[in-house]
Amino acid sequence: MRLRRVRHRYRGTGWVLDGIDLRAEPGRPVVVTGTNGSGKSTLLRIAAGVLTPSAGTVVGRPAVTGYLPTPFPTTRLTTRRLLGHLDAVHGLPRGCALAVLEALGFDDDADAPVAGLSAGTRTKVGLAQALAVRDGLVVLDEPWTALDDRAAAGLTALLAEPAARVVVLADHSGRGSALPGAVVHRVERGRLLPGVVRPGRTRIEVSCGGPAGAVSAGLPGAATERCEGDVLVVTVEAPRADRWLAAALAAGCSVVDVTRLPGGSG
Amino acid sequence: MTTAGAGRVRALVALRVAEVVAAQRALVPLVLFVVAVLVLVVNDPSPAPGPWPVTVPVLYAACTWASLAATRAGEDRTVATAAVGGPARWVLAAAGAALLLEVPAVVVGALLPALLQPAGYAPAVVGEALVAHLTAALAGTAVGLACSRPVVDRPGWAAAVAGVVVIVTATVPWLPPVGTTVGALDAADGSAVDPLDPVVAVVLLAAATVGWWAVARRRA
Repeated sequence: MRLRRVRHRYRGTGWVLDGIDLRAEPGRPVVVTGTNGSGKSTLLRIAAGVLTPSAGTVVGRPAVTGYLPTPFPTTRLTTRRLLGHLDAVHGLPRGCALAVLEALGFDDDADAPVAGLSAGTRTKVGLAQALAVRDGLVVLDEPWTALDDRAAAGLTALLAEPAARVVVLADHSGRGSALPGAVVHRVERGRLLPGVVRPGRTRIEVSCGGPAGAVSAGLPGAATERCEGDVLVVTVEAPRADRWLAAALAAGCSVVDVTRLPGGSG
Repeated sequence: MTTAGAGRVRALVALRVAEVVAAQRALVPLVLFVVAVLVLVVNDPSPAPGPWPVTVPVLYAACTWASLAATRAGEDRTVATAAVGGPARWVLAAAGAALLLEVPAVVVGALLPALLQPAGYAPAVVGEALVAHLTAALAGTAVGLACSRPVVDRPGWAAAVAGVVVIVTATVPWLPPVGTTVGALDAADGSAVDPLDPVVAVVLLAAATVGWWAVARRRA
């Protein structure tokens, strides 16, 4: 799918988007970043076919589109009925979205109205209906927002799966830019610029078996969070974490905890 | 539109009907209409045209209100618009769902007076009443769609504009399709309803659908 010289403005506004060229293909998720009000959501609506640009064209859009707006809206329908209907509207067999919902760790009552769900759980419902589209276009607006850790990890895993779908998403969390094959862009003043990706970081806690300060002096450089007694807590850039851990183990430390922190992009 | 595309629009009609029934707000005018028909018929089971000169304009207003409310009901338009393949298909499904919900009111308005009249009505007269009520439903759906978001964004303005349009077009006896239909039903000389009136109503609904699409595709 390609967006060519896309421009858009709403009634009474200047150009929200001003000459966007974008290419999206399966296996290369397009991640759009930018400040609030920069035009990311407008770009996503145009990509999803909800909005027609004031100028420019969108070519090669797949026949079926799954779209997640933020926030996902409320409805009096139950989760099961809403997802069943949306499966049918997508041209999918009923039950596809419910299966995705389970993979995202949905543990509420599927026969209760969506309007009664929390914002995060409603986001899971919205993600389920969009990600049920495995062979088409999936457009997600801030998909990690409001998700708990388990659901966020489940979403990352689903998006990292090899699939025939084209993915376009807006993301502030930094998780999108860490997806395999991600192409990161930044929207600024209506234009699309190459995004800058900052790698994620890893937080490591080790027990040194002796004075942590003395041990840390012999280890590779890292940002020290805590150094008390034999406890040493540091953060390092994710690609350097394995080397730091190997050095710590070689120095006689034992690992207490390792946590992956999301990166950022802009 | 392909067969698969038509199937997806039908699925969206089902979703819209389910949304409106679950939200219930859009059903209020249709329920009020049925109550009004019952009151009129029970109090005065008169021969044809009976209450029809009243029920047709009231149904026109009820269908305008119902279609205005139906386009606002339930799940966010953007999700379904993307799912079905664009705003043109969404508005087709929204109009279809509104008409489906209005069918029971059309049937009640046209048939109940005939069923409760001891002497009965001639089948041709009942057929004419059905056409008249269907014309009112089609025209009301057109007005509701033309005044709904995003064509008219604010609900207060939408209600005011729709109200003025309904009152004017239902009471001017030479103005098709509803004014002329009501005029024909109310005429002392037993004039027949013009068969062109439902055609005009269909054209109005088509024009409202295209107009809504032209606005909505630029203002999601």
